[in-house]
Amino acid sequence: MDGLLVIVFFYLLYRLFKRLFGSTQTQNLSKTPFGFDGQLVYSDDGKRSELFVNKIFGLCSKPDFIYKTDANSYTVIEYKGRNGPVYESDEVQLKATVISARSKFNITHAFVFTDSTKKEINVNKTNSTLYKEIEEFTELTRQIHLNKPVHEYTAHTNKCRTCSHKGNCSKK
Amino acid sequence: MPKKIVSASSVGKTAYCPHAHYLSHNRKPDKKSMKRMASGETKHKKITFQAKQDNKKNSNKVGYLPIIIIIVAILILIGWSS
Repeated sequence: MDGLLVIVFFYLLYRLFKRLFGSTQTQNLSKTPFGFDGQLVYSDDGKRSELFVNKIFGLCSKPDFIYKTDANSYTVIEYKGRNGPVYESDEVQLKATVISARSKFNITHAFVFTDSTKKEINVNKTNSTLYKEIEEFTELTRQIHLNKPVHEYTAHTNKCRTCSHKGNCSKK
Repeated sequence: MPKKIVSASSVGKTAYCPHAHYLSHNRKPDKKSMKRMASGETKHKKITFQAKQDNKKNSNKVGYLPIIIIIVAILILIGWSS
């Protein structure tokens, strides 16, 4: 009888603490450097970090950060260490990252952060839809990897000013 | 046939400028760009360190909870048996 009372007592004590401190799920969420609450589940630490691969779409990535933001909801962050805007290329990279990271995590939100800007990219779509949005660039990348000459250029001339290959560029 | 796997960062570079990405396969970037990349890497390391610290702080806080429960339970049990 005493043993049963002890078990009941422990259970009630556990419930009390859970109520006082919140559920374990919420408790693990902390303020992130990106201004939302989440639990860090992945960060790119270089060579040792896990590589996410999606063989169906032929994409792989090492996202900068993945945060758990809900019971089965994850947010991926792409950080760009520049004091400038978010480019279309950042969005393309992020979409490819989401497709590959979904091999392990249910990514529902995605952000690009620069030192001065924050932009949420709508990834509330299927992998197929996301892939269609970046297919042109992905196929071009495959050609580049096969060393096939690519003569398509950015339309933004301001990018050319800081380009490290402007000396060898054949753009007229 | 399975698709050749390419990295997300590589796709991003193509989106930035396809020809520049093609050129980068055969040529090294200039000194100025190398410097810029190194600065970006340092910023990355800094923010990764900060993110890990923030996470650690919180997990430590959570880690105390079971310990507190056990200590309180032991104290109550001691009081119960005496």
